[in-house]
Amino acid sequence: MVRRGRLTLLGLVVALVAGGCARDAPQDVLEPAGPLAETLDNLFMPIFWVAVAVFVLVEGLIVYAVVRYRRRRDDNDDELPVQFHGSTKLEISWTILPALVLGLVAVFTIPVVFTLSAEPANALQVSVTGQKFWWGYQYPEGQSEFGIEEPIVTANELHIPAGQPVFLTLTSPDVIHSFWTPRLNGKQDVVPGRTHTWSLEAYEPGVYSGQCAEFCGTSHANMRLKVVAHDQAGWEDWVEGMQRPPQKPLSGLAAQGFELFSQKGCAGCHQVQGSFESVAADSPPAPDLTHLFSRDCFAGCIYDLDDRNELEAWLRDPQRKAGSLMVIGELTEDEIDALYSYLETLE
Amino acid sequence: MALTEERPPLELTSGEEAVVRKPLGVFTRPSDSPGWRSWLTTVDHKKIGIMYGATAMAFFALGGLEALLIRAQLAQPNGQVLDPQVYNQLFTMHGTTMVFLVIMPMLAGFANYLIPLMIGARDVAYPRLNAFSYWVFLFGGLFLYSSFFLGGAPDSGWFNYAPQSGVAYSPGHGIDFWVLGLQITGIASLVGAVNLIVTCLNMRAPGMTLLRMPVFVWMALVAQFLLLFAIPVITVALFLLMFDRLYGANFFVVEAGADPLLWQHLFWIFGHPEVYILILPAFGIVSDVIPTFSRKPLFGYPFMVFSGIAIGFMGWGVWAHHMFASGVGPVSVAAFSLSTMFIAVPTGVKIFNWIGTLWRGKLSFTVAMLFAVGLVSQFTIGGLSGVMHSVAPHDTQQTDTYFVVAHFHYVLFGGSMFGIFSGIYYWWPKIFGHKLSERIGKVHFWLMFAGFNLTFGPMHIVGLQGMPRRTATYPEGMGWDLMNLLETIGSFLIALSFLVWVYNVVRSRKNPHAGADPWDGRTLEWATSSPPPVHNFDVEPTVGHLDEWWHRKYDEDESGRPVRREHYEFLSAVDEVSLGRGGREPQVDTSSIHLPSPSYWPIVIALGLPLISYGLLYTYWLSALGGIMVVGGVVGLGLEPSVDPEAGHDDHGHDDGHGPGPGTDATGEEAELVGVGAGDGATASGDRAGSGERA
Repeated sequence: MVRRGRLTLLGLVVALVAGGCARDAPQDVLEPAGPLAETLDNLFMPIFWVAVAVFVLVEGLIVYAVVRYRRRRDDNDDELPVQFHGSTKLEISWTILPALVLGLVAVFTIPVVFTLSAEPANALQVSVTGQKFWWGYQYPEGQSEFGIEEPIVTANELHIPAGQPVFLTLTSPDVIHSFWTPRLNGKQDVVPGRTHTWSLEAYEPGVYSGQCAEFCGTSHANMRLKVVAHDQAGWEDWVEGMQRPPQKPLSGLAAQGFELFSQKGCAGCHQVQGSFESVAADSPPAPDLTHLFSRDCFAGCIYDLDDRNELEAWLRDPQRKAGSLMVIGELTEDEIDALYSYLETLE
Repeated sequence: MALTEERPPLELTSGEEAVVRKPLGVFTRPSDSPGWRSWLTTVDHKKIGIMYGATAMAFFALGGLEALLIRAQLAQPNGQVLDPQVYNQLFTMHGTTMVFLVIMPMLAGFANYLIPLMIGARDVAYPRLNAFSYWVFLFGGLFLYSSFFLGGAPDSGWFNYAPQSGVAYSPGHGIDFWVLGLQITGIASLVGAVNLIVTCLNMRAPGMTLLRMPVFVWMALVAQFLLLFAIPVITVALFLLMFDRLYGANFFVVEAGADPLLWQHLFWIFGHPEVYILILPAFGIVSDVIPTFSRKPLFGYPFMVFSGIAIGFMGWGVWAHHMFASGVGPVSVAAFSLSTMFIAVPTGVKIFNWIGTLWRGKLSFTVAMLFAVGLVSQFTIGGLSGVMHSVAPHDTQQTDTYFVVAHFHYVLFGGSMFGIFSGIYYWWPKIFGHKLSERIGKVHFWLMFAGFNLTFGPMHIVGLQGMPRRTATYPEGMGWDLMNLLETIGSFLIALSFLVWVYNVVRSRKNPHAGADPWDGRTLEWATSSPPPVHNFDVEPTVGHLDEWWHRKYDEDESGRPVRREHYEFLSAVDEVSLGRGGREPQVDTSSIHLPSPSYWPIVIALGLPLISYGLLYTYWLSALGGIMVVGGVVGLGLEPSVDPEAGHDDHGHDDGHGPGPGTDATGEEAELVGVGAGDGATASGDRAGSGERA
C-alpha cells in the first residue's frame, strides 16, 4: 500500500512537472530572457539537480527501509531487532558530507551576490516609482547615447533598448513594493525613505511581463507592469515620439474632453505635458498621460487600452479595480465619450 | 548529572499559616467538584494540556476554513468569490491563526501533558501559572478573532510590514486587534516557556539526567528557550507599532524619518527562531514515535539532542534570509546566505538518524508511524527547497512567490502538522484511555497525504512560473490555471481528511480500553495508567536508563537482542488490560500525595488582559476594569496557598483524586527524591514537607 501510494505520487509529480513546464507562462523564472536572469538560472539549475539527487537518495532510503523492514503478518512479535544505538562514524560522515556539498554551493553563490550588486557600465538610467497601485518611470535628460535629450515620463510600461543594460533607481512614496520582471532579473523591494538600485537587460526585443511582488494593500494583485524591449530602430522611434508633446485639440469632441479634463479635476493628479503641468513631474500622484495611447495597457497594466470598452468602464467607475485611488465624479455617457476622444489624442 | 538535585531549589516552606478561607474575601476557593467547572479552575497539567489541544484544533478548523475560501477564490483566474479586502483579511488571519493559535498551542499542549509524565514528575513547576498561560492564550485568540465582528480583521499579512501596517494605510481597527492580540498570546507563550524550562531543569525524577530525557522533552525544552528569547523581540516590535497606531508615535512612519526595514529586522529576528519553535517539538514527537514502532532505540540519541540544540543556536543567525530582496546590501546578503546554507546540516543529521532508526527495525505502520514517516519524507522536500532559498541571488526570484508558500507549507504542514497528528494518534490512548480507530485513521492519513501534496506540490511550479503570493487574483494567460485548480482540489481533500479525523474522534469514544502501554512504549508515560492518575505516578521512578520503561520490561541477551523480563512493575495501579505478561501493580499508599488545589485566579487575571485591550481601542473604563482584574487577581493568587488546607487530606486536595492503592508505602528515600509538584514557587505542597518528615 505504501509503495503503491508513493509510485502514484511520483507519477503525479512527473505529470505535473511536465504539464506545468509545457505551458506558456510569461513570467516563468526558468525561461530567462536576459543576461542577469540567466546568471541566476545558471546558479539555480545545478543546485536544483543536486537537490533532486539528495531527494532521490533520502526518499529512496525511506522507501527501501519501509518496504524491507516492515513487520510482516506472520512475524513473531517477540523476536525483536538488535538494539543498536548509533554509529559515530556514520554521524560524522553525514555531518561532514552535506557540509561539503553546501560549501561547494556557497563557493558558487557568494561571488554572484557581489557581481550582481555592481552598477553596469554604460547603462540606460531610469528612475522607477512604485506606488499604490501602479509604476511610474522617469528617464533623466542628457542621456544622449540613448537619444534622450529631454526627460521622458511614463507609467506602467517600461521601454528599454534590447541588448543594453538598464540601471533602475527605485523609490516609493507610500509603502513597500517590489519590482519584478522574472524573465529579466529577480525582484528588488522598493522601500519608502530609501533608494535602491536594480539592473535589467533583455537579449531580444519583446514584451516581458512583471508585477509588484511585495504585498502593498488592497489592489496589490493588480499592480502589474510590462517591460517593452525594442530593437535599435524601434527604440529611436519610441524616444522620438515620447519627446514630442501632443497637440492641444482645438475643436470637436476632443476639445470638449480637454475642457472636461480640467473641470472634472483630472489635472489635479494626472500630468499632460504642454497642457496640464500643475503636478510635480518627478513624483506625480497618478500616471502621466502625455503619451497614454502610445501604451497598450493602463491602471497597473491590468486593462487593455486597445479595447475602448475597458477605458470607458474605467471612467465610469475606477473602483472596478478595487482599492484604486482614482477619484472621479459621476460622468454622463456624453462626457465619457468626450473624455475618451481627448485621451485618444494623447499618442 | 549536576542538575539532578535532591530537592527542587525553588521549594519554600509551606504557607499554610497565611491561609484565609476566602482570599480577599471575594469568593470561596473552588471545590474539587467534578464537571465542567473543574475545567475552569483546574491546575492539572494534563487537563490544561487537553484544553490547549482542543482549543488549537478548533482554531485549526477556523484557519482551515479561511484557507478553503482562499483556495476557492484562486481556483480560477479572475476569481469572483471574495473581494480583495476580504481576501487580504483571510490570508492574514490564516497565517496568524496557524502559527500563533494552532501549531504553537498544539505543541504547548503536548509539552504540558507529556513533559511531567516523561520526566517522572507530578506536575509542572508552576501549576497555577500553567492554567494562567492557557487562559491567556485562549482569550488572546478570541480577542483577535472578535475583530471579524468589530469592523474587520487585520489585513496586512502575518508579517505585517511597515508602513502598510501604519494608521495612514490601515486606518481601521483590524491591525490594532492583531497588535494587541499577539501581545496577549505572547504573554501566554512567555509564561509557558519559563514554566516548562523550570520543569525540565528542576522537576526530573531521580536518575533522570538530562541525557536520559526523551527527545521530545529535549526538543520542547530547546523550543521553550527559543520562545523565551524570541517573544520579547516580537513584543518590542508590537509595542512600538501599538504606540505608532494608538498614540501617534513615529517608530515606523517614514515621513518622520523612520526606516521601514527596522520592522522587518525585529519581525524576523523573532520570526526565524519561531520557525524552529514550530518544528522542533514536532521533530521530538516523531523521534519518540519512530523508535517505538521500529522496536529499537533512536539511532544516535546524543546527535539528535545536540543537532536540536545546534538548530536552536543557529536559528538566531539566519533571519535576514527573509530579506534578500529588501535591499540590505551584498555583505549582509552573503553572510546570511552562508548561515542559512549551513543550518541545513544539523537538520540533515536528524533526517539521517530517523532513517537509521528505521534501518533493520521491525516497522509497524500504525497511523502514528505513517504520520511520522510522512513528516520525515515531506520535511525533506521543504528542507531542500530551503537550501534553494539560501542561494541568495536566485532567492530574488523565489521570495514572495508561491515557491516560498510551497516551501513553508512542506515544513509547517508536511512537517509540524504531520508530527502533531502522529502525536495525536500515538498518545490518544494515554490521554483518553482508548485508541483512535486505526482503520479510519489510515483513511485520514492517506487522504491528508494526497491532499497535502496535491495542494502544495504544484505551488512549487506556479511559484517558479512567477506567481506572487498574497495576490487576491490573477489574470488568464499566465500559465497558472491548471496548477491552481489542482491546488484547490487538494485543499478540499485536506478538509475532507480533517473531517475523517473528527469522525474518528467521535466514533472512537466507544473503543475498548487500550491499557496503560498499548504500543509497548519506551518512555515513562507508558508506565502509568491510561489516563494517568491526577498525581501521575503512584510510585516515583528512579531512572537508570534512557528509555527507562523499555529497560524495565526488557533485558538484552549477549547478541544485543532484547528479552522480555519475567516481571516488571507499573508505576501506578493499572487496569486489568495492562496486566499479564509479567506486568504488576505497585503496592503503595497514595493518600499522602498532595497536589496544588484548583484556583479561580488564573482565569480572572487572564480575562483582564483582553478587557484592557478592548479598553485601549474603545473606552478606557474597560481598561480600568481589566487592570483591576489583573492586579486583584495577582494579589489573590499571591495570597492563596497552592494547596487548600481546607480541602482535607483524604481527597488529595485535588479535583480528581485517584483511589489510594492498598499496601505499603514507597521507601522513604524514593519519596524524598521525587520531584513532587512544588507549587507555584511560593508554596510547596504539603506532600513535600510530609515526605521529608518521613525520610
